[in-house]
Amino acid sequence: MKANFKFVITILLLIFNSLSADDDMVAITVKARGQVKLTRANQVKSTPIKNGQILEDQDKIDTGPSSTCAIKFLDDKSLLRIRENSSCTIETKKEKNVVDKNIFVNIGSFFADLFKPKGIFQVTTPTSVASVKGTQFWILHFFDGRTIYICIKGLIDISNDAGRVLLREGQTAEVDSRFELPKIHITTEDEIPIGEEDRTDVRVLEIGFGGPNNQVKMLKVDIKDLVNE
Amino acid sequence: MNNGMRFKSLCLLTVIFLNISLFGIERVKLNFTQKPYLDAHKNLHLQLNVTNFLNHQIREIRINYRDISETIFKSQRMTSQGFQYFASVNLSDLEAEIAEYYFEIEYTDGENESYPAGTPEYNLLSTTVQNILQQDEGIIIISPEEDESIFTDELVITVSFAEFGSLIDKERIKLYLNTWDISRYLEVYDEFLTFVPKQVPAGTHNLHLELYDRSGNLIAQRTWRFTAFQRTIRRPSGTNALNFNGQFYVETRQEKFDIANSHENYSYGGLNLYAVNKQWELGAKLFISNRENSNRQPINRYTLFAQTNFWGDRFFRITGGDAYPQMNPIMVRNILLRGIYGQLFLGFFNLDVAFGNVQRSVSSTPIFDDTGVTIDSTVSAFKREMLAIRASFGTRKVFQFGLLAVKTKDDTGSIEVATSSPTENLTVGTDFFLASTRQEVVLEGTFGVSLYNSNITSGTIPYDSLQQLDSGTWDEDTRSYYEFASKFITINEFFVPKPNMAFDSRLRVRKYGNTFTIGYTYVEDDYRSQGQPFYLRDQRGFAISDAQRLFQNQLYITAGFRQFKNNLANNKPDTTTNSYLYFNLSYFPIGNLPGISVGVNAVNRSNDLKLPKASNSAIPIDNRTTTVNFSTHYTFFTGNFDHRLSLNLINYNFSDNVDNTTAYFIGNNIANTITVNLRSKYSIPLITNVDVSFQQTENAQKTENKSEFTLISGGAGGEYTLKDSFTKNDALIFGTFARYGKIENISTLQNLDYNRFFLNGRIIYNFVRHGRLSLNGDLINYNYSNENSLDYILTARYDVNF
Repeated sequence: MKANFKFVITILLLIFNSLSADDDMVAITVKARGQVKLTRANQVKSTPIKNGQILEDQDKIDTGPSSTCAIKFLDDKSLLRIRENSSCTIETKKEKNVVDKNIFVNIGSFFADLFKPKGIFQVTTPTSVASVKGTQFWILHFFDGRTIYICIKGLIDISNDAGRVLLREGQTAEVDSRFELPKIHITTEDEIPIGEEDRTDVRVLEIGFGGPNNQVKMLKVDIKDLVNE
Repeated sequence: MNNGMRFKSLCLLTVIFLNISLFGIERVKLNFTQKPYLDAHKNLHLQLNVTNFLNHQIREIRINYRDISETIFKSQRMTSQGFQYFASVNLSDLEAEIAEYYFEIEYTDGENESYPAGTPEYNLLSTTVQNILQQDEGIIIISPEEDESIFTDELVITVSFAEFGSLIDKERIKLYLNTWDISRYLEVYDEFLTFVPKQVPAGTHNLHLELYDRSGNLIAQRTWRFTAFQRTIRRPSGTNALNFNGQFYVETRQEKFDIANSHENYSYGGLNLYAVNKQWELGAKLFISNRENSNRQPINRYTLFAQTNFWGDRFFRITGGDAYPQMNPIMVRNILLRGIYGQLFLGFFNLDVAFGNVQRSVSSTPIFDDTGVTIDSTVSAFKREMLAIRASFGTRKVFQFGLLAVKTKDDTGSIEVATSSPTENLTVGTDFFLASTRQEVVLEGTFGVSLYNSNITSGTIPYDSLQQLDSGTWDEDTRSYYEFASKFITINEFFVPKPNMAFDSRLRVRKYGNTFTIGYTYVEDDYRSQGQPFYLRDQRGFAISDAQRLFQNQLYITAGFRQFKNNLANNKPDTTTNSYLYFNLSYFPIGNLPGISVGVNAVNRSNDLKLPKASNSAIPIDNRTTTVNFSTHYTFFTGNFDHRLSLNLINYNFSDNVDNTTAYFIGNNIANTITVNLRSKYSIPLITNVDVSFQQTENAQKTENKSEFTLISGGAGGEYTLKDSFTKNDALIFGTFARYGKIENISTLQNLDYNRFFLNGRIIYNFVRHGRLSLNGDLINYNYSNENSLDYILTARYDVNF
């Protein structure tokens, strides 16, 4: 009798899971290098993520040292790159074909590239919430609780208990605590992290040309090699 | 065969040929073996059966087709197999939703016939071409993105199609990586699919996705490419090494025709070789037939070509041997050139040059009867040389302007006995193309002027001699014109002094699912370009059409009007006006509902004469042909079986409005045809086809001269495929088809009923990498008045790709 009951429950769970599984699938891992782990909702044990791993609502992703992960959302191919030593949880809410996304950042550095986003794209840290209205931006959250937003393109609406600011293209916002308004300044080049995907063995070849009036003109050639891992 | 049988045979032939059907009264009779159908890739599949009682030697059958909004046809050769001819015509580049077509038979004696009767001026066949959803609607490429660069070991293919919802049949999804079908490896979910191969070769690859609904209709597709790099620095493969491929085929056919008392063998073979890398394309084609005869136009084909690619899309290509230069729709097209054809494409400047022979010399030979008396002679042909040069500016993406000159001349000494005169022709012209960035608005046109001499046997004669032959106006301008023109063309009494011109233009606007086209054509009677022998002369008129797609391409509405007149020079007995009005509505539901197509066509021909003109022998013409067609198809499932049922109704009504008491009354003709077809696919690899057809034709010339023709026919066939029959990856296909037709012909001339039985059997063995062997047998039996005739064709063929 007990065995039959367990069998029925198992079958029901399988059916329930199969019925609901597709609705929960919201993103896919398009790149995973190094130690990248996935923890499903309501599970304790984590599993390694490989390329092609399908992600669901409430999935938690952790990256180790020298490890990166790139995921894309299935409804609008919005890209989220997760850099080394980072952790986040994907929260989604689906209505018809539109998925509202909230990336809950635990720690680390992230890059988002939104292409014609559908629904709301939001990033939540312990100190702030950023609603994205643009296309490309960085989020860096540190152990000491600071969060830095770097807007590459578009607009980011950042809010916390202290208020709300609008971050524009080419600006950086620093949020020190949830009770302080984010501080905004112009982004400097050295602030923008170079991701694993962007790092290349770049060699610069400079060739000088002498002009008729002893002028010198320099031709700079960037030679980009692919990273050999 | 005794005299009685021969008489009955002749009566049979006479009755059959007097039967005014859609396919006319000509040397042979054409019937569709199965209803033409359009597949998901917009290939129109046609299958014809040729009834060739008197064994007229057919050189080839071509299908000529065009967009309904155009005036110029494209041409494609049909493949023969026994009594049947096949073609698969790609209509994907058509702009409008309706394609018109007709068939043209070329006989080895040089004669041509077109089917149905009246084409290409009127009576064209048509088919609706459904456009699938635009490529970027509804399909979201998640990974890899268009032109993305990745490493060879990190390819993740993911595509989302949430917008289609449950319409997509997940089992039918097709995904191709280059030419490799990877559909079975996909993980398909409700709203997306994914596939993660371990490795992909380095280089640039294409991905092609097709989404189908549950009825098997293609509703969306997308193609995109990406590049994969090895992790060590290395150039992608294929940049310098030549990739080779080719095809070889050989076929032999035995034909026996009882009535014609003939027994023939046809054998031919061919070899195509290609080598390609990033910079070079090299190729060779060879076709050899046992029917090649120096007394006929060439059947064998020999071609060599080489192409070198520059930066971007630029190239230089040279072709030696047999080529088909396509330079201009009214000057050089649809012609076989045996010579040299060079093409230089730089974009800002392009140059095409073609020279060689377009006609072989064939001397006329007498035809004798049984007693040795000469009763006729074969048609002769002079050797004809052509030189064509076209310079153009622009890539034709948004702009191109071209200048072209074509000269053809017959070699007067190339044959001994001629049934025609040697000719010479010079045509010069321009063409232009203007389009908006995405080609939503396109304006294009071409203009040509020709000079023609219908008989150059005597060569150029002096101006003074010419003056004596013609009493027209002769002044200094005429002499200047003579001196100028004689540098380019032979001038004698057969020279047409007035240059004749042709102009063809078209404006097309595409927006919001609507395509509007308007075109104007003007071609004078003596306009000739022997580089384009299939262009209809002596016509002027316009064509307007509009096509609208609605409800995600489920509903198509097309309407149009064309009117053309002849006798531009007002030198014919009368002027005939052809008007063509058409309307078509097609419904292709995305869900599993019947598809419906309804069309009405009305063609009027008239020369506004009520009575013949005694002065110039013009006779009155005033008739109307109305065709109403209705077709529907429905896909349904019984268990694991997939069925497609289609119904086709055609009403054809030809009415002659000329006074029926006069001798010029042709007669009225009404024909009704009903065809029902059921095509089934089973869970085992078996496909069956069953159809029933009923046709009734009434022809009334005058009250005392009527005929009524009734055809009832039914056919059934099947094809079974045995996979991995002898070795892995091979396939053995067995197919058979039988059709029985009962014909009743009641006529005031001769009543004649007969039965026709057609049986086809075929075995095809496909062995990947080693080729394909096929054996095909066709049998036709005619039974009339207890007499029988039995014709058969047996074919064996081998093909291999390497």
